[in-house]
Amino acid sequence: MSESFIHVKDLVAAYEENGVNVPVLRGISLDIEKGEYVAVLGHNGSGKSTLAKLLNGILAPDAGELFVAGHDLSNPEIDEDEIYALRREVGMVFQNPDNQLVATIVEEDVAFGPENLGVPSAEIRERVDRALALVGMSDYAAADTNCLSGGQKQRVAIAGLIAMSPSLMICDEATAMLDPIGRREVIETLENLNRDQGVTVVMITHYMNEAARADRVIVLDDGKILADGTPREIFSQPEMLRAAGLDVPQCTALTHALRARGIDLPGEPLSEEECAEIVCRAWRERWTK
Amino acid sequence: MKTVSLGQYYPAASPLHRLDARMKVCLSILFIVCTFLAKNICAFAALVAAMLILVALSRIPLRLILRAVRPVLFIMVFTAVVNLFVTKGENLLFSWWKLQIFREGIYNASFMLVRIITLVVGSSLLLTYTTTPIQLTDAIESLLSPLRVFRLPVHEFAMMMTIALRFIPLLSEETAKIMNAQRARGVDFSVGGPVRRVQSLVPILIPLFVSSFRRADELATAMECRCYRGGKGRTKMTIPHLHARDGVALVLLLLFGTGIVLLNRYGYGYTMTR
Repeated sequence: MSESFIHVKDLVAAYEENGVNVPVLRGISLDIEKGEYVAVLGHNGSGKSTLAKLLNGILAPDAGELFVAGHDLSNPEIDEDEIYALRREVGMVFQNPDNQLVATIVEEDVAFGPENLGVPSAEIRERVDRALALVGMSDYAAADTNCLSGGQKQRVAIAGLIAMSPSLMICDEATAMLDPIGRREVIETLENLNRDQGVTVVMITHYMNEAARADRVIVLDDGKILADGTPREIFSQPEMLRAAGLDVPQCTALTHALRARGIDLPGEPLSEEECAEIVCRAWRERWTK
Repeated sequence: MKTVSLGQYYPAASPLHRLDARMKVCLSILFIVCTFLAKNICAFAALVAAMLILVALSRIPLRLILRAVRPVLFIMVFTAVVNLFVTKGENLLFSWWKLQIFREGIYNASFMLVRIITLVVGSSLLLTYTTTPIQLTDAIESLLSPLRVFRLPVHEFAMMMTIALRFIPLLSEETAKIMNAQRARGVDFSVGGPVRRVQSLVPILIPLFVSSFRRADELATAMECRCYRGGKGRTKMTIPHLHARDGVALVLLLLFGTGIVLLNRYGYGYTMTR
């Protein structure tokens, strides 16, 4: 039993293709505490989706230690019941909003998880109402899922997980198929859950501005952890991000380019507002000199 | 594509809409039995009256109800014509070559017409027009649940129906997208003979199949992640309760059935031979 909520040590995972062993994760070690909001960044094929699937018991690791919420997933003889118990605590939001909703009516879909757990009817009703309120979809309880926008569908999917009262929420590129409005809806929902309900969030993404809002950013490249730190620490290293095949956020790129020209800018801006403020201040200082 | 509606459900606040779906399944079976019980003009008149009462109760536009009859129009005409010429009786009205029309034939043909119309209208008013597909699925699951004793996969069947209801609109949307994509590449779906046309469907079906399998795979994973393990130990959010109105409806329809039987016996006029 490990002390961290998620404990990963020297984790190795591979898949077989045409009889060839293709390694995806080559020795990853990390610990995530309860209540953290972690973004996992990486380009396509960096192994970030595999990591998400390992954390939820969809895939089994080939070597190394993997503990999630007290369950030892690195045990090769783990039984179905323990994986079932794990999934009560670990919710997973997938990329395609259409392929994870089961029922036609919003509240029926949210009820699907608790129904599977065998929760008494009256309590399911309470949980569904609470979950829909938390994601701001109460007005759509009786709506047809096919008539919702992508962001709304993802929020319903999140509500479906909340209704199972998980302590960890994994999002596997949950915003990749959404428009900017839908993306913001989903991110704000997740942030609220993390802040108000204390749900640990692991967000797999390749959007820099989403990662910038997390407490902690882990950069994966070629199955290894390239960097692990606060967004400020990570985004102050544009060379590292480029090496990982990731875009450098525009504000980071701008401040670093200005610094290279000898303009002294303090700090590391994470949002466009911060960036604009720093640049304006520097400009004013120059002018007054 | 936002308003893909499955089935014929018409939302309205009518007494028929409020009835329990399970009761409505039973009621429509009973009503169908009644249409087959009716044998003479009095009984058929009672059937038509009951149908009109249902139409009035349902608050569904007449135009929509007529639409339900359209698909069976051919069967209706066919049955009527067959009955008209085949029925032999005592009062010959018309004879030409080998075709004979008896008065009994006219009676039989019109009775058959009334029977089919009341059957179609009655059952669609009691079920498809006033019950959502989801309610219907739940009702069927609940009514068939005793069959679990015989190891029939009732829950799995209902789950399949639910998922089908959820994905049919999605797949139809996707079919339209693929067809547009193929059209953009110069495929014309409206030219050529039957063989050619079927051939031009292949480039639609293959991507559709591939994407359906991918969807099915992803959905299965998502369902497992939400702790789905089949019907065992599962609870339901809403447990439907039978209300007094459901009992009243059942009693009324049973009385109606008894009435039909009595009218068959004591009513006057021509009695159908079959």
